[in-house]
Amino acid sequence: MTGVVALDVLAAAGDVLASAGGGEGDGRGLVLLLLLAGPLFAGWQHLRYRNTDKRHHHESETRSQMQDVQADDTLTGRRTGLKSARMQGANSRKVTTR
Amino acid sequence: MSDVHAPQAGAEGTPDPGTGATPAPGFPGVEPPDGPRVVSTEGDRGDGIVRCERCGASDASLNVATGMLRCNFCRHEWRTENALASFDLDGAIGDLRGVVVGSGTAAVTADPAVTLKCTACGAEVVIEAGVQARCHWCRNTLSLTEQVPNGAVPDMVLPFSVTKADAVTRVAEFVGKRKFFAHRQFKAEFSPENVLGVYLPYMVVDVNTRARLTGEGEHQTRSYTVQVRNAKGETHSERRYDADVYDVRRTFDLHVDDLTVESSTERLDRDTSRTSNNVINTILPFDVENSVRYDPRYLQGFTSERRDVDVDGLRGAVHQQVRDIARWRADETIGFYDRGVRWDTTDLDVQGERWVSAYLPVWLYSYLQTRKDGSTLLHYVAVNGRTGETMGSVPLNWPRLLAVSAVVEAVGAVAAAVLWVLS
Repeated sequence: MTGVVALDVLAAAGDVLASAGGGEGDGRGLVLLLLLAGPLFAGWQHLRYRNTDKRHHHESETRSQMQDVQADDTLTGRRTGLKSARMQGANSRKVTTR
Repeated sequence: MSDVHAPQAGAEGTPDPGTGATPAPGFPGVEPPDGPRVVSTEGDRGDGIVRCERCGASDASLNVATGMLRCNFCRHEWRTENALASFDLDGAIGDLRGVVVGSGTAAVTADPAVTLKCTACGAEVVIEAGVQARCHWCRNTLSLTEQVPNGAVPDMVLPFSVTKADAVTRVAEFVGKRKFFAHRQFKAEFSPENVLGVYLPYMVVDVNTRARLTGEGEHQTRSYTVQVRNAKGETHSERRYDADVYDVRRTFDLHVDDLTVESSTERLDRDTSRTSNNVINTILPFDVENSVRYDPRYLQGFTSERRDVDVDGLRGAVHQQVRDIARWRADETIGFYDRGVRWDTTDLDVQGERWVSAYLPVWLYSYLQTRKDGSTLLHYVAVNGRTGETMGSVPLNWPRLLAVSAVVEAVGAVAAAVLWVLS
């Protein structure tokens, strides 16, 4: 349970940093991080001692060969005025097995 | 959303390794394909006394320094042949069709305890745990070599190559870096020389599949700055992006080699609130291609855990891991989509798969923590018995950690206030 909380706190910190995009945001992000310094420290130490976030990276550490690759891509539209530098919902590096 | 088409029936088939299997926790069962081809890995040895080829003594064990078996009477050393090569279980994965299994993967149906008749004096000796016992009359060492379907005898074994002294050093170093916030009782009782060599049960799987992924990708076409006015009427600059959107499809053959999964119910439970099995999972992978034919004498001086999950119980988990590998490999082909790709489906059309059961070597230091509410948590520090990779779980001294965190929070709050005033 505490491991999940620790991961959540660190993930929230990552979100804060990610959201601090422009000039004014940088200052606000840093203030928020300083205000969260205690929980962040506790979460970091929890993960360092208990290692509840660690697992075997089967997706990258297992030998595999890819052959006969076929690509079939179609342009379907255009999006403008997007605020994020990354596509929303991008999951190509997300692993489903924990 | 994903789909799996299981491979069709193999060419030959006798025992069904899937009957009576239980799905691994968290994974749906997948329909077992009919009639796997079973490769016998049992050899011609019977249960009972396995003798040294030079002097005939029954007592031999692994010499970790050389990786060879050594007779404990005449000191003669010999090497056992490579398992995958000698049983022709290392053929090209692209040629795999149907399901091929080692005979050591047979469904676990028998009672764990096995009674052996001593071939020297005729006494009956019960082996309740492990695969070896001494005859209580004539003191010969008896070995369980035949593959009784109780999960105790696998197809192959990977001998330890990391010595106990090395494992003790690695455990001590790992814990030594985590002492300040460690639980007081753990620190007081920490004794790394109590590390234990354990052969844990795994399934090693090769998969030949066609993978098909579909989704949507974005390619950035423009990046620019706009002036934005907030509720107070103040303006500030923000970044904006334009992107082309594509339907993305990738289809390719994927040959997965030596995917290794735990095959005991206890080790598959990786809920970190009640176990620290995840640290044992972390020390994968092993160089399983160097495994040798199973010989119980490799286990002498170590302990072993029995397999209690069958091929069918693990198939869902294995296919899920193959999907993850497919996505990972597909990432190499989507460089054009610099804003990312969202995969919506990952389908597998499995052409063939090959399953081999194995004992793999792990040095384990364990500590049972009893918490204030009476519940217990078993912490492990695990060392890969081949590569030396080390990972562990050290119980925390929460009062100390919270006190230090409170000080850090106070300093952070003061710094935040100063920064706020200055800005």
